[in-house]
Amino acid sequence: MGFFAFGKTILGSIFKKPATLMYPVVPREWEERTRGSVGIAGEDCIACGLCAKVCPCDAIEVDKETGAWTIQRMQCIQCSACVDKCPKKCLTMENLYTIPDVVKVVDTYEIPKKEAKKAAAKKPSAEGAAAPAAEGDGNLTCDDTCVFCGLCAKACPVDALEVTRKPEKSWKVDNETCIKCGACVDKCPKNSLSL
Amino acid sequence: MSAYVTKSPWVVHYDGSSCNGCDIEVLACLMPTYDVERFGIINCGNPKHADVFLVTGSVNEQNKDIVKQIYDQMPEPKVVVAVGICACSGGIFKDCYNVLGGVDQVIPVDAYVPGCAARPEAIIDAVVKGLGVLQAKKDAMAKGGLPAPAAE
Repeated sequence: MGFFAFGKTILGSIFKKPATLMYPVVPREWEERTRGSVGIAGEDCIACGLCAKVCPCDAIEVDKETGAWTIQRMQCIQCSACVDKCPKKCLTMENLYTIPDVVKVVDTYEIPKKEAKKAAAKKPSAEGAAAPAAEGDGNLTCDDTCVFCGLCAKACPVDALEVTRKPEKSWKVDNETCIKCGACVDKCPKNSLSL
Repeated sequence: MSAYVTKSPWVVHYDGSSCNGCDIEVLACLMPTYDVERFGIINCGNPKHADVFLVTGSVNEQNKDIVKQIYDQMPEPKVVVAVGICACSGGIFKDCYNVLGGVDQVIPVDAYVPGCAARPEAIIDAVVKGLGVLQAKKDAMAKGGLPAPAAE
Protein backbone atom coordinates (compact mmCIF):
# COMPACT_ATOMS: atom_id res chain seq x y z
CA MET A 1 0.00 0.00 0.00
CA GLY A 2 1.48 3.27 -1.09
CA PHE A 3 1.11 6.72 0.35
CA PHE A 4 -1.51 7.69 -2.24
CA ALA A 5 -3.71 4.62 -1.85
CA PHE A 6 -6.68 6.90 -1.18
CA GLY A 7 -5.44 9.66 -3.44
CA LYS A 8 -7.81 8.77 -6.23
CA THR A 9 -10.83 8.73 -3.91
CA ILE A 10 -9.84 12.01 -2.25
CA LEU A 11 -9.32 13.78 -5.57
CA GLY A 12 -12.59 12.39 -6.87
CA SER A 13 -14.44 13.61 -3.78
CA ILE A 14 -13.03 17.09 -4.21
CA PHE A 15 -14.07 17.51 -7.82
CA LYS A 16 -17.23 15.37 -8.07
CA LYS A 17 -20.71 16.81 -7.58
CA PRO A 18 -22.39 15.82 -4.30
CA ALA A 19 -24.37 12.59 -4.37
CA THR A 20 -27.37 14.25 -2.71
CA LEU A 21 -30.17 15.32 -5.07
CA MET A 22 -31.06 18.39 -2.94
CA TYR A 23 -34.71 17.49 -3.51
CA PRO A 24 -37.07 20.25 -2.39
CA VAL A 25 -34.74 22.99 -3.69
CA VAL A 26 -34.01 21.23 -6.97
CA PRO A 27 -37.25 19.73 -8.35
CA ARG A 28 -37.14 16.15 -9.52
CA GLU A 29 -37.64 15.47 -13.22
CA TRP A 30 -39.53 12.28 -13.93
CA GLU A 31 -39.01 9.82 -16.75
CA GLU A 32 -41.68 9.61 -19.41
CA ARG A 33 -42.68 6.09 -18.36
CA THR A 34 -42.75 6.75 -14.60
CA ARG A 35 -45.99 5.48 -13.11
CA GLY A 36 -47.28 8.44 -11.15
CA SER A 37 -51.05 8.78 -11.31
CA VAL A 38 -53.96 7.90 -13.57
CA GLY A 39 -55.35 10.67 -15.74
CA ILE A 40 -58.51 10.76 -17.85
CA ALA A 41 -59.51 12.51 -21.05
CA GLY A 42 -63.20 12.85 -20.19
CA GLU A 43 -64.50 13.64 -23.68
CA ASP A 44 -63.56 10.20 -25.04
CA CYS A 45 -64.94 8.24 -22.07
CA ILE A 46 -68.07 6.14 -22.73
CA ALA A 47 -68.62 5.34 -19.03
CA CYS A 48 -68.41 1.60 -19.69
CA GLY A 49 -67.07 1.00 -16.18
CA LEU A 50 -64.46 -1.55 -17.28
CA CYS A 51 -61.76 0.40 -15.44
CA ALA A 52 -63.72 0.16 -12.18
CA LYS A 53 -64.31 -3.56 -12.78
CA VAL A 54 -60.65 -4.34 -13.44
CA CYS A 55 -59.23 -2.23 -10.58
CA PRO A 56 -57.74 -4.57 -7.94
CA CYS A 57 -58.13 -1.94 -5.19
CA ASP A 58 -61.64 -0.66 -6.03
CA ALA A 59 -60.14 2.82 -6.32
CA ILE A 60 -62.22 3.80 -9.36
CA GLU A 61 -65.95 4.40 -9.36
CA VAL A 62 -67.98 5.15 -12.47
CA ASP A 63 -71.46 6.58 -12.03
CA LYS A 64 -73.27 5.99 -15.29
CA GLU A 65 -76.33 7.99 -14.20
CA THR A 66 -74.62 11.25 -13.36
CA GLY A 67 -71.56 10.74 -15.57
CA ALA A 68 -69.01 11.06 -12.81
CA TRP A 69 -65.66 9.26 -12.91
CA THR A 70 -64.17 9.15 -9.42
CA ILE A 71 -60.75 7.96 -8.34
CA GLN A 72 -59.54 7.62 -4.77
CA ARG A 73 -55.93 8.71 -5.08
CA MET A 74 -54.93 7.22 -1.74
CA GLN A 75 -56.17 3.82 -2.84
CA CYS A 76 -54.75 3.58 -6.38
CA ILE A 77 -51.57 1.50 -6.63
CA GLN A 78 -50.67 2.70 -10.16
CA CYS A 79 -50.81 -0.86 -11.52
CA SER A 80 -52.02 0.51 -14.85
CA ALA A 81 -54.65 -2.24 -15.23
CA CYS A 82 -57.35 0.36 -16.02
CA VAL A 83 -55.14 2.11 -18.56
CA ASP A 84 -54.51 -1.19 -20.34
CA LYS A 85 -58.19 -2.17 -20.22
CA CYS A 86 -59.75 1.13 -21.35
CA PRO A 87 -61.37 0.42 -24.75
CA LYS A 88 -61.34 4.08 -25.78
CA LYS A 89 -57.78 4.71 -24.56
CA CYS A 90 -58.96 7.75 -22.64
CA LEU A 91 -57.09 6.74 -19.48
CA THR A 92 -53.41 7.58 -19.28
CA MET A 93 -50.62 6.93 -16.81
CA GLU A 94 -49.11 10.28 -15.99
CA ASN A 95 -45.61 10.54 -14.59
CA LEU A 96 -46.47 13.02 -11.83
CA TYR A 97 -47.44 11.51 -8.52
CA THR A 98 -50.38 12.74 -6.42
CA ILE A 99 -49.16 15.35 -3.96
CA PRO A 100 -49.29 14.01 -0.38
CA ASP A 101 -52.03 15.63 1.64
CA VAL A 102 -53.54 15.75 5.10
CA VAL A 103 -56.77 14.25 3.77
CA LYS A 104 -57.43 11.34 1.42
CA VAL A 105 -57.55 12.92 -2.03
CA VAL A 106 -60.56 11.99 -4.15
CA ASP A 107 -60.71 13.33 -7.70
CA THR A 108 -63.95 13.44 -9.67
CA TYR A 109 -64.14 14.10 -13.40
CA GLU A 110 -67.26 14.88 -15.39
CA ILE A 111 -68.00 12.65 -18.34
CA PRO A 112 -70.04 14.43 -21.05
CA LYS A 113 -73.51 12.89 -21.37
CA LYS A 114 -74.12 10.40 -24.17
CA GLU A 115 -76.98 12.42 -25.74
CA ALA A 116 -74.93 15.60 -25.80
CA LYS A 117 -72.08 13.71 -27.38
CA LYS A 118 -74.38 12.18 -30.01
CA ALA A 119 -75.84 15.58 -30.88
CA ALA A 120 -72.36 17.00 -31.23
CA ALA A 121 -71.34 14.10 -33.44
CA LYS A 122 -74.45 14.37 -35.63
CA LYS A 123 -74.19 18.08 -36.34
CA PRO A 124 -71.17 17.90 -38.63
CA SER A 125 -72.15 14.52 -40.14
CA ALA A 126 -75.69 15.62 -41.11
CA GLU A 127 -74.34 17.14 -44.31
CA GLY A 128 -72.82 13.90 -45.62
CA ALA A 129 -75.25 11.12 -46.56
CA ALA A 130 -72.64 8.43 -45.94
CA ALA A 131 -72.31 9.28 -42.26
CA PRO A 132 -75.45 7.50 -40.94
CA ALA A 133 -74.46 4.35 -42.83
CA ALA A 134 -71.02 4.47 -41.22
CA GLU A 135 -72.68 4.79 -37.84
CA GLY A 136 -74.77 1.69 -38.61
CA ASP A 137 -71.62 -0.25 -39.39
CA GLY A 138 -70.38 0.51 -35.89
CA ASN A 139 -72.93 -1.94 -34.46
CA LEU A 140 -71.80 -5.20 -32.98
CA THR A 141 -72.12 -8.20 -35.26
CA CYS A 142 -71.51 -11.91 -34.79
CA ASP A 143 -70.66 -14.29 -37.65
CA ASP A 144 -71.45 -18.02 -38.06
CA THR A 145 -68.29 -19.19 -36.27
CA CYS A 146 -70.05 -18.45 -32.97
CA VAL A 147 -70.17 -21.38 -30.52
CA PHE A 148 -72.67 -19.66 -28.16
CA CYS A 149 -70.32 -19.94 -25.20
CA GLY A 150 -71.79 -16.83 -23.59
CA LEU A 151 -68.45 -15.30 -22.61
CA CYS A 152 -69.35 -12.11 -24.49
CA ALA A 153 -72.53 -11.70 -22.41
CA LYS A 154 -70.52 -12.20 -19.21
CA ALA A 155 -67.92 -9.63 -20.27
CA CYS A 156 -70.49 -7.00 -21.25
CA PRO A 157 -70.48 -4.15 -18.70
CA VAL A 158 -74.02 -3.00 -19.61
CA ASP A 159 -75.70 -6.41 -20.15
CA ALA A 160 -76.56 -5.64 -23.76
CA LEU A 161 -75.91 -9.19 -24.93
CA GLU A 162 -78.08 -12.25 -24.53
CA VAL A 163 -76.80 -15.70 -25.39
CA THR A 164 -78.93 -18.81 -24.98
CA ARG A 165 -78.12 -22.45 -25.78
CA LYS A 166 -81.46 -24.02 -24.82
CA PRO A 167 -84.01 -24.63 -26.23
CA GLU A 168 -82.52 -22.89 -29.23
CA LYS A 169 -79.07 -21.47 -29.82
CA SER A 170 -79.35 -17.72 -30.15
CA TRP A 171 -77.18 -14.61 -29.90
CA LYS A 172 -78.85 -11.24 -29.46
CA VAL A 173 -77.54 -7.73 -29.02
CA ASP A 174 -79.52 -4.75 -27.84
CA ASN A 175 -78.04 -1.94 -29.93
CA GLU A 176 -79.76 0.68 -27.79
CA THR A 177 -77.96 -0.44 -24.64
CA CYS A 178 -74.66 -1.39 -26.32
CA ILE A 179 -71.98 1.24 -25.69
CA LYS A 180 -69.56 -0.27 -28.24
CA CYS A 181 -66.76 -0.69 -25.74
CA GLY A 182 -65.38 -3.81 -27.41
CA ALA A 183 -65.04 -5.84 -24.23
CA CYS A 184 -66.94 -8.75 -25.84
CA VAL A 185 -64.78 -8.59 -28.97
CA ASP A 186 -61.65 -9.00 -26.85
CA LYS A 187 -63.22 -11.86 -24.89
CA CYS A 188 -64.60 -13.93 -27.79
CA PRO A 189 -62.58 -17.17 -28.07
CA LYS A 190 -63.58 -17.70 -31.71
CA ASN A 191 -63.05 -14.12 -32.87
CA SER A 192 -66.60 -14.14 -34.22
CA LEU A 193 -67.48 -10.66 -33.02
CA SER A 194 -66.72 -7.44 -34.81
CA LEU A 195 -67.55 -3.81 -34.24
CA MET B 1 -33.41 25.16 4.63
CA SER B 2 -35.45 27.08 7.17
CA ALA B 3 -38.07 27.60 4.49
CA TYR B 4 -38.91 23.90 4.67
CA VAL B 5 -38.20 22.83 8.24
CA THR B 6 -37.96 25.05 11.30
CA LYS B 7 -36.68 22.61 13.92
CA SER B 8 -35.19 19.14 13.94
CA PRO B 9 -38.06 16.70 13.84
CA TRP B 10 -37.05 13.16 14.73
CA VAL B 11 -38.90 10.30 13.15
CA VAL B 12 -39.68 6.81 14.33
CA HIS B 13 -40.34 4.31 11.58
CA TYR B 14 -42.58 1.30 11.99
CA ASP B 15 -43.21 -1.36 9.36
CA GLY B 16 -46.79 -2.63 9.76
CA SER B 17 -47.43 -5.40 7.28
CA SER B 18 -45.59 -3.72 4.45
CA CYS B 19 -43.99 -5.58 1.54
CA ASN B 20 -40.81 -3.59 2.37
CA GLY B 21 -41.14 -1.46 -0.77
CA CYS B 22 -42.12 1.65 1.18
CA ASP B 23 -39.64 0.81 3.97
CA ILE B 24 -36.81 0.87 1.50
CA GLU B 25 -38.06 4.23 0.19
CA VAL B 26 -38.15 5.59 3.76
CA LEU B 27 -34.57 4.41 4.21
CA ALA B 28 -33.67 5.92 0.82
CA CYS B 29 -34.76 9.29 2.25
CA LEU B 30 -32.27 8.86 5.08
CA MET B 31 -29.43 7.74 2.79
CA PRO B 32 -27.07 10.17 0.98
CA THR B 33 -29.15 10.48 -2.21
CA TYR B 34 -32.02 12.26 -0.44
CA ASP B 35 -30.29 12.85 2.90
CA VAL B 36 -33.06 14.27 5.08
CA GLU B 37 -30.49 14.75 7.82
CA ARG B 38 -29.84 18.03 6.01
CA PHE B 39 -33.03 19.18 7.73
CA GLY B 40 -32.13 17.63 11.05
CA ILE B 41 -34.50 14.73 10.53
CA ILE B 42 -33.10 11.69 12.30
CA ASN B 43 -34.51 8.20 12.40
CA CYS B 44 -34.52 7.30 16.08
CA GLY B 45 -35.33 3.95 17.60
CA ASN B 46 -37.18 5.25 20.61
CA PRO B 47 -40.73 6.57 20.22
CA LYS B 48 -40.22 8.71 23.34
CA HIS B 49 -37.70 10.80 21.39
CA ALA B 50 -39.76 11.11 18.22
CA ASP B 51 -42.01 13.83 16.80
CA VAL B 52 -43.08 12.12 13.60
CA PHE B 53 -44.37 8.57 13.31
CA LEU B 54 -43.84 7.04 9.87
CA VAL B 55 -45.96 3.94 9.36
CA THR B 56 -45.67 1.74 6.29
CA GLY B 57 -47.99 -1.10 5.45
CA SER B 58 -51.51 -1.84 6.53
CA VAL B 59 -52.68 -2.58 10.05
CA ASN B 60 -53.70 -6.11 10.94
CA GLU B 61 -54.77 -7.94 14.08
CA GLN B 62 -51.15 -8.77 14.91
CA ASN B 63 -49.74 -5.26 14.84
CA LYS B 64 -52.61 -2.96 15.79
CA ASP B 65 -51.67 -3.01 19.48
CA ILE B 66 -48.04 -2.29 18.63
CA VAL B 67 -49.01 0.68 16.43
CA LYS B 68 -51.22 1.99 19.23
CA GLN B 69 -48.50 1.50 21.82
CA ILE B 70 -45.84 3.32 19.78
CA TYR B 71 -48.31 6.17 19.20
CA ASP B 72 -49.14 6.39 22.92
CA GLN B 73 -45.47 6.40 23.88
CA MET B 74 -44.71 9.40 21.69
CA PRO B 75 -44.81 12.75 23.52
CA GLU B 76 -47.26 15.46 22.44
CA PRO B 77 -47.26 17.19 20.01
CA LYS B 78 -46.86 14.39 17.46
CA VAL B 79 -47.84 13.68 13.89
CA VAL B 80 -48.49 10.42 12.10
CA VAL B 81 -47.55 10.02 8.44
CA ALA B 82 -49.03 7.04 6.59
CA VAL B 83 -46.49 6.08 3.92
CA GLY B 84 -47.76 4.17 0.90
CA ILE B 85 -51.16 3.07 -0.29
CA CYS B 86 -51.33 0.15 2.18
CA ALA B 87 -50.85 2.50 5.13
CA CYS B 88 -53.36 4.98 3.65
CA SER B 89 -56.23 2.62 2.92
CA GLY B 90 -55.08 -1.00 2.99
CA GLY B 91 -54.45 -0.88 -0.77
CA ILE B 92 -54.49 -4.20 -2.54
CA PHE B 93 -54.71 -6.03 0.79
CA LYS B 94 -57.76 -4.20 2.10
CA ASP B 95 -60.08 -7.16 1.57
CA CYS B 96 -57.78 -9.69 3.27
CA TYR B 97 -59.43 -11.36 6.26
CA ASN B 98 -56.73 -10.30 8.71
CA VAL B 99 -56.24 -6.72 7.47
CA LEU B 100 -58.12 -3.95 9.26
CA GLY B 101 -57.31 -1.34 6.60
CA GLY B 102 -55.19 1.77 6.71
CA VAL B 103 -53.39 3.10 9.76
CA ASP B 104 -56.26 5.57 10.28
CA GLN B 105 -58.37 2.65 11.52
CA VAL B 106 -56.28 2.55 14.69
CA ILE B 107 -54.64 5.96 15.25
CA PRO B 108 -55.35 9.44 13.83
CA VAL B 109 -53.28 10.11 10.69
CA ASP B 110 -52.08 13.63 9.83
CA ALA B 111 -50.58 13.11 6.37
CA TYR B 112 -51.11 10.53 3.65
CA VAL B 113 -48.41 9.60 1.12
CA PRO B 114 -49.76 7.96 -2.04
CA GLY B 115 -47.66 5.65 -4.17
CA CYS B 116 -46.89 1.98 -4.51
CA ALA B 117 -44.17 2.19 -3.46
CA ALA B 118 -44.21 5.77 -2.16
CA ARG B 119 -41.49 7.85 -3.76
CA PRO B 120 -38.81 9.40 -1.54
CA GLU B 121 -39.81 12.82 -2.88
CA ALA B 122 -43.41 12.15 -1.82
CA ILE B 123 -42.28 11.06 1.64
CA ILE B 124 -40.23 14.25 2.05
CA ASP B 125 -43.23 16.33 0.86
CA ALA B 126 -45.51 14.57 3.35
CA VAL B 127 -43.13 15.01 6.28
CA VAL B 128 -42.89 18.73 5.44
CA LYS B 129 -46.73 18.86 5.35
CA GLY B 130 -46.85 16.94 8.62
CA LEU B 131 -44.53 19.49 10.21
CA GLY B 132 -47.07 22.18 9.42
CA VAL B 133 -49.60 20.14 11.39
CA LEU B 134 -47.02 19.64 14.15
CA GLN B 135 -46.50 23.40 14.42
CA ALA B 136 -50.27 23.98 14.56
CA LYS B 137 -50.58 21.41 17.36
CA LYS B 138 -47.68 23.00 19.21
CA ASP B 139 -49.27 26.45 18.97
CA ALA B 140 -52.56 25.02 20.23
CA MET B 141 -50.74 23.45 23.19
CA ALA B 142 -48.92 26.71 23.95
CA LYS B 143 -52.29 28.43 24.18
CA GLY B 144 -53.27 25.90 26.82
CA GLY B 145 -55.49 23.83 24.62
CA LEU B 146 -55.33 20.13 25.30
CA PRO B 147 -54.24 17.89 22.44
CA ALA B 148 -57.07 16.32 20.50
CA PRO B 149 -57.96 12.94 21.99
CA ALA B 150 -56.84 9.93 19.99
CA ALA B 151 -59.47 7.99 18.08
CA GLU B 152 -60.70 4.96 20.04
